[in-house]
Amino acid sequence: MPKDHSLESRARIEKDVRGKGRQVICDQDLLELSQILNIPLHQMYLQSMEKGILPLRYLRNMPSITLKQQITLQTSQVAVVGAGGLGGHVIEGLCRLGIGGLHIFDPDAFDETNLNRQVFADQNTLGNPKVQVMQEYCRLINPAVQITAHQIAVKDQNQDDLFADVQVIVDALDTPGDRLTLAAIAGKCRLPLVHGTVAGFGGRVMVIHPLDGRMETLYGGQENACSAEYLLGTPVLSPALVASFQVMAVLNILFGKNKSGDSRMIYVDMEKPSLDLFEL
Amino acid sequence: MKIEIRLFATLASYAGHGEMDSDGCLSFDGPATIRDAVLRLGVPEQDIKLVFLNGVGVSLDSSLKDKDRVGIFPPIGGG
Repeated sequence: MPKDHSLESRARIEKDVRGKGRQVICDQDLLELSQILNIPLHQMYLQSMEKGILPLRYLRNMPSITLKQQITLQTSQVAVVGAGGLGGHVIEGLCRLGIGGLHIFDPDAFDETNLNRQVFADQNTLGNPKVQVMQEYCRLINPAVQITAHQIAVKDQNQDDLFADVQVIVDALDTPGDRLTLAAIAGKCRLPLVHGTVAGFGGRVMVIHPLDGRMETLYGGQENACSAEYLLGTPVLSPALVASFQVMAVLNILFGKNKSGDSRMIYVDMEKPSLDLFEL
Repeated sequence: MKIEIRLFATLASYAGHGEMDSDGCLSFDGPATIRDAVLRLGVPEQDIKLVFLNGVGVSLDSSLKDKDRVGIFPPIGGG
């Protein structure tokens, strides 16, 4: 009798946090079926979820992230520009959440000054290109995520073709000029840009809508100004926190939760502590 | 009139200047703008990037009224 290679044959019932029974499937079974049926792994995950069978790795996302939303994530593509303090945490978060396609950009390699805050910086990765290291780690974290690593700087407004397939861009850069260029690209592509920045034990997050001009308000004419991060440093706390807010903003955009277009600036000061919203 | 002033990031170090009270408020006898408050605190204007009045972005020339809340930010760009 031929062996059953259906997703249903590999599914089992597992209770979620509310005690409700739910059909789930293990990574190993999805990997095997992907090989046997010659279907790309990310497609296998998608097919499974479309049949109502949840990959076990996402069970603890429920019900904050529903099965329907998990499918939305698997069919979404996000670009993260800058793979440093903010970018590393954003990339890890989006990878664990199960974004279908991640496009990551950074020209640099890890150095010792990155060890204080950058999530993939360690003794073994020093000297290696950040995007390459992250691509390898992320494949281990979640093989259902297709990661495209671009070891380049985004410094030219004509690089908009690099963002043709994405629904959201995350600004995890650290220089005003590059942020202004990225905002111009996002405007050209008509894509929302999730801006984040840190200094000391604080930082801000804001969704910049295409051509709304607010990146210019944040960074225009700042070429000679001394930015706060040079005076306060950037310990790991603030990139980790601000990156989480950025990931939340990405989810809200992908899930269509921000229909009112709320794009207020969030500023968090962990030392005080305080969280404030500002209209800009 | 009494104005609440919030100084963020590097500007927090100016909070003890200009007779700011323990609630973070400055008192003015007559009319004043945000620039007047900034001058009293001794915050260099070139160190200021964003100014908010009651949570909305404004310029330093904005006039103040009793119980207004002012937020002032330096440039921030770390990533």
